Amino acid sequence: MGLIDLNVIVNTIWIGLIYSLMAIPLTISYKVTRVLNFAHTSLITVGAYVAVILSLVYPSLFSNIFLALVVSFFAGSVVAILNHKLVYRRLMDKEASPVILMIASLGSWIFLKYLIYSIISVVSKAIKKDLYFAVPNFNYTFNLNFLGVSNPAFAYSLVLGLSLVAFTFLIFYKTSFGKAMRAVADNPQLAQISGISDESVMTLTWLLSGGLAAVSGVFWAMFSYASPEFADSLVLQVFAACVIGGISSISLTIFGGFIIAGAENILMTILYTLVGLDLSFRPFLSFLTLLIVILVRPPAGAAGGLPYRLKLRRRESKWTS
Amino acid sequence: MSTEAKEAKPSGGILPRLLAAFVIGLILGGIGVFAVQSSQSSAQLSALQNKVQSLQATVDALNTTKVYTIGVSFPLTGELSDVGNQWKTVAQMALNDLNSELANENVKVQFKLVIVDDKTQAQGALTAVQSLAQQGIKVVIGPAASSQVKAVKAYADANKILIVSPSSTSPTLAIPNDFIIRTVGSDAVQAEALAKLAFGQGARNVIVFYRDDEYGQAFAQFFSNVFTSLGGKATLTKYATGLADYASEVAQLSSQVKSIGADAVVMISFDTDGANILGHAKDDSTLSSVKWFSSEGVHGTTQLLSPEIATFIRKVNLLGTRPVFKENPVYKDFAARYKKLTGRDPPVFAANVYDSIILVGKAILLAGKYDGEAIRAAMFKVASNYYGASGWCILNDAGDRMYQDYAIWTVSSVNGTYEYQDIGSYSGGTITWG
Amino acid sequence: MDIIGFLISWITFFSIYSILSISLNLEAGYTGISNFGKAAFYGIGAFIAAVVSLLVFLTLSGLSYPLYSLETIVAMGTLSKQNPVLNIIVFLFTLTLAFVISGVAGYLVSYPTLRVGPAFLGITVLSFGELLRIFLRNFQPTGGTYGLAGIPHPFAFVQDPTARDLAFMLIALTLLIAIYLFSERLVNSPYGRLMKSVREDEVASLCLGKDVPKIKAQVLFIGSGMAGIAGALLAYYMGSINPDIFVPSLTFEVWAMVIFGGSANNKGALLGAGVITFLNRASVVLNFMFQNLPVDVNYIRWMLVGLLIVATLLFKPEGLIPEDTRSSFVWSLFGEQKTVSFKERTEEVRKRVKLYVKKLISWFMMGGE
Repeated sequence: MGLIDLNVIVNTIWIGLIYSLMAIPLTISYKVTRVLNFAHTSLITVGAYVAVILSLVYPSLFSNIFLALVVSFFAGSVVAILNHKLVYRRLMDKEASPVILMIASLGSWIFLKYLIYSIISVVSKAIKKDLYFAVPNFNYTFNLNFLGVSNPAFAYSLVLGLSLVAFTFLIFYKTSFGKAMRAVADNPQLAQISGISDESVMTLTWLLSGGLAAVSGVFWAMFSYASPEFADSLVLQVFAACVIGGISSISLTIFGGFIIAGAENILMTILYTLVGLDLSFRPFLSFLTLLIVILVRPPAGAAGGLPYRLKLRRRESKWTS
Repeated sequence: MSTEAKEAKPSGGILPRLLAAFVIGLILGGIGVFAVQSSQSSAQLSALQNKVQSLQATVDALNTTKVYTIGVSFPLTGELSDVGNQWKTVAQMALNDLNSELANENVKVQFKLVIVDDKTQAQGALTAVQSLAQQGIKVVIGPAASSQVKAVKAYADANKILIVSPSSTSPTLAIPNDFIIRTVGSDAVQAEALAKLAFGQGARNVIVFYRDDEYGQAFAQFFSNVFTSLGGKATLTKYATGLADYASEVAQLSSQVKSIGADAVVMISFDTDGANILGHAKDDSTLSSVKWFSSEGVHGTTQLLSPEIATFIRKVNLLGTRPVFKENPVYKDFAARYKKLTGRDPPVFAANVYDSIILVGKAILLAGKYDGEAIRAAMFKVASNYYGASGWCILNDAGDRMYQDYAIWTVSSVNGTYEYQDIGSYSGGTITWG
Repeated sequence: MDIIGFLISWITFFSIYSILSISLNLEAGYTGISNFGKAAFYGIGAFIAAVVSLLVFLTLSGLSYPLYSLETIVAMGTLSKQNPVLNIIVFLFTLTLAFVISGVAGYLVSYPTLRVGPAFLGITVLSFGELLRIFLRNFQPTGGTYGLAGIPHPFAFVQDPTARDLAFMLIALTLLIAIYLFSERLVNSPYGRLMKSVREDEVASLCLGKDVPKIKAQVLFIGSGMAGIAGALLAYYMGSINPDIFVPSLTFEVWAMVIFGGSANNKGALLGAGVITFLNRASVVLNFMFQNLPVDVNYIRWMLVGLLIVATLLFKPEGLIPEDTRSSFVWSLFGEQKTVSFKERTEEVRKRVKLYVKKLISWFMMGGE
């Protein structure tokens, strides 16, 4: 495949990793809480901007990427937990349907989006820097030579990103908390009867989900840049990755992330060089890939299968991981 | 009384009676004349009083300050929010300048701005303009995108609301006798300047990497026409707008440069997409070994002054064109003040925004009344002899800017920091360096 | 403050968005089809109206400019005022065509969605919609990124702009009323009960022998057709359209209107559309009151919209008007087979009207309490 540059492969890996990191928290939060969280993109943006602003305003402390990531993680967690306590919990106590929760999250999203705009405009004027296109000011001390490409941001993202994915798997499958999460996801009533407090599980789920989303935002800012709109421009690709994973299986979600990134980069290259397809069709390819995947092999995860595919259903019903 | 008159017979003759009647008549007449005269004079007096009152009112009116409101529809959220928010600062600068100039010359008029966010959407612009018009506004600065201007055109033409866009460049809006004025000119001449620049720098086989919208398409087409007529070869490659990142497109650009053996890339972009593209291009070895040329979109962004991108710019000797009149003291003053206020260079079309507000203010003054048709007529007159931050603002019949000169810019290292520099100019078809 | 102008423009947009809300309500509220691709059918209707009307006008005058070009826009400026009858015929024709083509598109989209199941129906329809939009952006004959402008307003021959807008508003309102009555009739009929059964339990419905896929396809046809009508109205009202109007966030906005106003309730759909469109416009008074806040007043406006949605849902988790299981007033009059004389029925109508008018007046008197 001489026509595929090294750049294209690196981009695929990098972007695929970021999409996965953005999609995993959405999958986790949906599985456990049954809320399709529209405010997910706000969490991503919050994470990106917390890291960026801190690294610009206090470079002595926060040009250390690890510290910035930790603070971002907690910033995302706090916002997610607040959103849960103030909005979702109260609605769930009133037995609101998932659709209502989804629209409430839409309201949160709108509110948070323009709150972020407000904060950015104030801070931008105060520090006299352009925050509508903001890159974190990190001090990269080591660099990896990956397949001949030397890019410290990529090196850090790869190492840290993969660690985070491993960390998520660890939490989800090796800890008792993870077990509790899976129990609540599977059957909330049964979990409650078994003594698992679903409220504490949900709070901790939002902590994990919000934190991961925030950190994924930081990785995006390192790869590209942070703006108030970037997460909303990406949300459909991220959601596509979730859907390919059936919004239930973490490993399939990761697979989905890389498939979508592959479509945007590798498939784009192939179609561009062979068929001369205009580059302006790139977003087209993401959706096309999503449609092909879910039409050819419809995901039958936590969202449930169709009555017409009873054959598939029999094989299903446990965590595909 | 009548009985007395009947019974009493008058003594003496008729003469004393006549005399009495005459005297009474005289007295009555005198009283009558006096009454009439005094009523006349009181009428005169009240007339005089009225006149004094109305004169007083006029004097009062001349002494009170009239406040006119100018509407503004900017993209404060959405794809163009970066540049929209900077324009807000520019607009407020222009307003303050306008108001202080009027105050200094003792003209009893002040202006006010009402800035509405149109979300960089066509419907948002229509809602913004309608809402402003329904509150009595007759002139609106903005909207930014040509698609938005098209969405408000029908309403503006019908309701006689003057729309002054500082940044819409689509050739399909060059329509005469409507209520759209654009203080930005066609990119045909700028594309010519860029083409001659690229050709003069030795580029013969270029890839035009352009935004897929009306601005980019028009510019790329104009460029291609001129460049091919000069003898070069131009391959047009467009990229979708509104995406979060262009690493994928840059990778394709790199492979295309390799496959057709291009010697230059001509980038037609806006601010955030252009900066993002350059940010990825700097990591690409193929793209770091060809010449680069650019339109005015990225000029003024802080990202290009960052060490990584600035070194790339110096390495490929990126040269761009931008609309600015050479040695324009008004522009220099404006840019310096903007930099002092915000810490960075003015963004793309900032000078047009500034001049739009000053022009509208002066047009309202000339028109003498706050009416869409009158202000429009006045705009043409005022613009015809106004030299502002964007130079001569003369408008053509379609209400678009007629003349524009261009500068050739790059990013250079000055005393250890990177700065934007205008290193040449394009006027009357020729490039002058220095 | 131009109240008449405000009302005319608000009611026009209200009508368009209400048609969209009612159509989404039929699909999502009553039948449980999570249609996240509403914007696409809206866009199909708009583009059909634009393309067909421009083509008709241009070909009848023997011109063959590209639809998006400057020549077309300038030519349409004069052509649209010459022949009032042509304007109206084209308007009505394209409205019907928009309904049919959008409806067929919705019907066809239901096929692939069968494979993915109800949970992923939303994202599937959304993906199809985005595919169409990106394709339109790149398809130059229908304008590409230039979009189409110069669309002939049905009342372009009317000189007074307020009269023209008023006439258009009345047309939009009439269409809204017709669609509302139709929807009310539909949901209170046996077919409506079919729709609700699909929403409540698809499997049970299937077991009882109801052709669930067909019902979904039919409901998608109706809903998408209605969205197409709304799109055609938008195209004529704005006079220009481009593919970037019909983005998923528009679908989300319509969803918010439906849920916020109360799903499975046509009155709720109207209320949701009304409140949100009103808020978007009326909040501009804040811009006039506050000009120099540290935070831009526009950001505050949009934050308030989000807060309103959340606060209302917290306060009323089923939306403003919950699902009404009783038959509607219209249905009780004209739907059921009653052996009631015409006179008695009109008596009923008169009584009801009086009651509503009295309620309105007393509400008004109490200062809107």
